[in-house]
Amino acid sequence: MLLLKTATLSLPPERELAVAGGAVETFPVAAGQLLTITDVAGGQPAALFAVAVDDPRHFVSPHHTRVFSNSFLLRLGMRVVTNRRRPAMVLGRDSVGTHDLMMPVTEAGDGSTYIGATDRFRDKVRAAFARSRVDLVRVPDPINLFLDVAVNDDGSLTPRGVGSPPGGAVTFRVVMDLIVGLAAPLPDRSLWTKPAATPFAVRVHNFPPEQRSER
Amino acid sequence: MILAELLVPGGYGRAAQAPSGALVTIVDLHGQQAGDFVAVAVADVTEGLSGIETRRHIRALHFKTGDQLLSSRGRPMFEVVADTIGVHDYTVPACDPTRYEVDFGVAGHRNCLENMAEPLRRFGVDILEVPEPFNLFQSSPPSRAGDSITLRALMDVICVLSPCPQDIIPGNGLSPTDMLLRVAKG
Repeated sequence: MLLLKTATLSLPPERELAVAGGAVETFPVAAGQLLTITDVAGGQPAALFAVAVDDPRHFVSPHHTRVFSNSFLLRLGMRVVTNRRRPAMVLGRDSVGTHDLMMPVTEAGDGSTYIGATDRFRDKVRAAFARSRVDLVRVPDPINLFLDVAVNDDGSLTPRGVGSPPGGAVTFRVVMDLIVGLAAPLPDRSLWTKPAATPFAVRVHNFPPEQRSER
Repeated sequence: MILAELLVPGGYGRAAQAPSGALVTIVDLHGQQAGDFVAVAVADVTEGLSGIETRRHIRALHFKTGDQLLSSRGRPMFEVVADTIGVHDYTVPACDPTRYEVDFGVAGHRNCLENMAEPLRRFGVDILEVPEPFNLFQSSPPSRAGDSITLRALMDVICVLSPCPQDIIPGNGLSPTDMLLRVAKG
């Protein structure tokens, strides 16, 4: 719940869902709600997408997010903005601290299936949004939560795997009515390694846990 | 043998086709001018030059001579074969209407996104499918008149160049100038 001068904001019910390893799920999150994503087993990157409820041509963009905050990485307090440079959400809590804004998701495995791997993943994302009745003109590029890619002084980039321990979590304050897509992609050993993809727990809630307990 | 040579006015966009093997050269004619550059495959215009796929491949914020630039399907689309300046950006999105409206309060400004979408429209490319740009001569030491970069096309492509119309912040010397887009047989 946002602290507004006039109490006109009516938020939808809270909900919880799981995103299985290798799956993509989509779900609505309203302006004012909190979105918490937990890496249940640890070591699993999440690909985050979001489109405006009222316009699928208006979507969260890692590229505009980078330039909006002059940062190659997503950090605590940064605004995640759209392709129209409007804030969609803010990273409000972060127990991990490593989130990438520059790489694709390919599900390329060991690299032998690299060509076409990006297309296969995009098809999964497109199908997931279609289940929420969102017809994507273009599958946006992802925000890669928990993926750790170091930006070195010489401009080189060093993938360092996934930084989240079991239970590592982020919470966003959402400020735009969104359909969010969250993927638990299969491994791309060029960027991170794990025997198999593992799930995420998602909470869409209206109060932080400690505030809720006081009410 | 020159296949196409376009004088691209500062602040506007133009497209040229290049067959596989051709050399695509972009020249900053007057210096200190950034040029947003994108390309799509002739065979399927939904396959575009891709910054994120290129970064995964070369693992660097800047590309250099000899590097391959990849498509959105992870296929080599260009090879950098010559470069007189050596530092270019491919992390900043194209300026678009909201760049001027939100950041500067200016409505109706020319912008690279629409400059690149306009010539691609006749090939069936939706403005949302315009790839993220490679910003030539941006984030480099100020380019000088005649600085150039040459890419070898590794598939049949449609290239688009927009000498950036940004005239509010210092990048283009406050006055966008013309660039040259040349396609030559390789």
